Amino acid sequence: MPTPYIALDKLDKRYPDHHAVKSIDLDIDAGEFIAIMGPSGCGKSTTLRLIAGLDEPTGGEIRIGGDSMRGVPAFQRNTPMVWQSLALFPFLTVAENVAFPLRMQKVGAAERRKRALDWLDRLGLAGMAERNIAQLSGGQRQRVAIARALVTEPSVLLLDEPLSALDAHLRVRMQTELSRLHRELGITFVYVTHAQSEAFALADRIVIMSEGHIQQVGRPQDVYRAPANAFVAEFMGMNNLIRGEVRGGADGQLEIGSALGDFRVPADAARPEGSRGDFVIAADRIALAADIEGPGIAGTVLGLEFVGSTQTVFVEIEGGTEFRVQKQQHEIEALDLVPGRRVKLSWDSRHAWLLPQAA
Amino acid sequence: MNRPLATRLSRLAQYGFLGALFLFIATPMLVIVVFSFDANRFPTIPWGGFSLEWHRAILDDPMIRDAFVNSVLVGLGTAIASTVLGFAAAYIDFRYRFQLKLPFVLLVAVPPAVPATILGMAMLAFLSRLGLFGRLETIMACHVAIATSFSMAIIRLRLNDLSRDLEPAAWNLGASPAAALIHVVLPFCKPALIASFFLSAAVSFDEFLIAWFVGGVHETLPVRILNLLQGQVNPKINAVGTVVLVVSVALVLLAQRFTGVRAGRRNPTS
Repeated sequence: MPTPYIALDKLDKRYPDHHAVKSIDLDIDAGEFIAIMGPSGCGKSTTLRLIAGLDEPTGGEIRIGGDSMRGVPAFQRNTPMVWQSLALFPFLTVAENVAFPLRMQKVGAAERRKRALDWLDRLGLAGMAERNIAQLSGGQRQRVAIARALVTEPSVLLLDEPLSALDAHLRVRMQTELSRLHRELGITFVYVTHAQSEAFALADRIVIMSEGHIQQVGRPQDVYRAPANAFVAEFMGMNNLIRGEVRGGADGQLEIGSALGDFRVPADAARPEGSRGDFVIAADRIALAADIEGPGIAGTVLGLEFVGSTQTVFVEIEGGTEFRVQKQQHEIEALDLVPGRRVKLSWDSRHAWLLPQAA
Repeated sequence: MNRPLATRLSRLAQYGFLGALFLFIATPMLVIVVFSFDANRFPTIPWGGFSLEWHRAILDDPMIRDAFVNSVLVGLGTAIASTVLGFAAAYIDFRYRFQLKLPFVLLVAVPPAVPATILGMAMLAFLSRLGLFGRLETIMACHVAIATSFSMAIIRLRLNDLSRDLEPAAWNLGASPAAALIHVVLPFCKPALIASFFLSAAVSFDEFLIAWFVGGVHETLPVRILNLLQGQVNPKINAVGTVVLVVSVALVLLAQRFTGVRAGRRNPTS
């Protein structure tokens, strides 16, 4: 087991009016691309600022490369950050912006200009060196901010919602760019975002935070398929949560009773009868049938929503519960799904995911 | 184009009013300038012909020359000191939160609101006790007290446009707090600092009452003008007045040039 490159140890941050980060533990490996996600106010940006030393923790410790960062000021950490606001210096040219960190390191003028131009070149900004920041497009400014953060060749790059100010098509291009840079540089990226698509597209591991706590850490597919709790399941969006209780079990499966009926789910451990048995079923694991007589639960189509090549079908079950089902376009046409149509929902019980019991 | 008569008349009335207002303000100054080049000994109509005699006379008057040098020295000193202090006060207000912030800001802002007579008397009483009465530095100190509040106002306004992320971003990129101040905050404030410099110089150059109270034997140019007036009517007054006017207008124009009020030149920092 390699020692983690960045280690957060019972890290805590309390503001006078707000407890932003509540004693979190997290190990980030060298070279890893880790995304911290969560709704606004969950503590993800504060965590990033604590790593950068822009805020003092009120408890716990941060270690980078094995060294405690306690008492190390931001300017001695070499943890450059790409800001949501970009925070480019408006009174400097593009090249001067990129060379700024080198100037702070007292690198000679000729050398720092050469290295700045190299990075501009690398990010497709050759020929922009003498421009003012105000003369650049949003995407170009984004690249300047990234070049400026990488020019000192740090071993970690912090990114605070870097793409949120960009148009949708630019965002996708910058994702590709970031992915390429991470692959080429092999350094640690810590990426804070509230956009699930960015986190899923880029990260090796995802950290889900809520109200100052870490809810789950895992690979994107694990967080998606095997959420640790109801918050993560609902935050991921494409999961349907069914609350129920354990009625019995056999053959590695548990019998769960709920308001919608009885279901079988794969058992994670022996659970006593009557204990909580909440489970999720992913939107793309649900089968729809026009035949109302078959097994499964009946519902009424409420509406449809395009998501790229697939559509999300919203189905209302008796009792008011809303289900999301993800289907390909041709399947939707075959079933002639229109709002108001009655459908039957069913799924393979092996695909249900029983939420782990709270520790 | 044939606009309705009413519109044209209204236009005419507007421009006429504007012109009249401008004349009302500018005429006294214009009169001084015009008569400073009058060959007559007394400013009377008709004009006695163009002459540089009085301008030459003020150059030959050692007391006026000394007063001019004093004014320049006091003005320069005031400009430097109040820009430095004004920047410090503005930055403290921008960056820090503390208990006594309101009293602090008031303390910096209030001197120009105090009647100059009272300020002058208070300064005189205070400074003469300290044994600082009647020195150029004394005049300068008093002018700094007034001009600093203008400097702070100009620089604070500029700092409003400084993105809150910019300084932390500099720290994050390896700049110590001192280096961030020098390499980020100061360059950002440069136009305001220059404006503050010229405006403080103008405030000092024009100030009469306090300089008269605390200056003792050291006369600044406005004080010299009063002393000239108290003697017999002297044609040199118009020439001195013209010099003061030109210097003051130049300083204020320079200050305006840098306050960044020109349209369409805002930096997208946020």
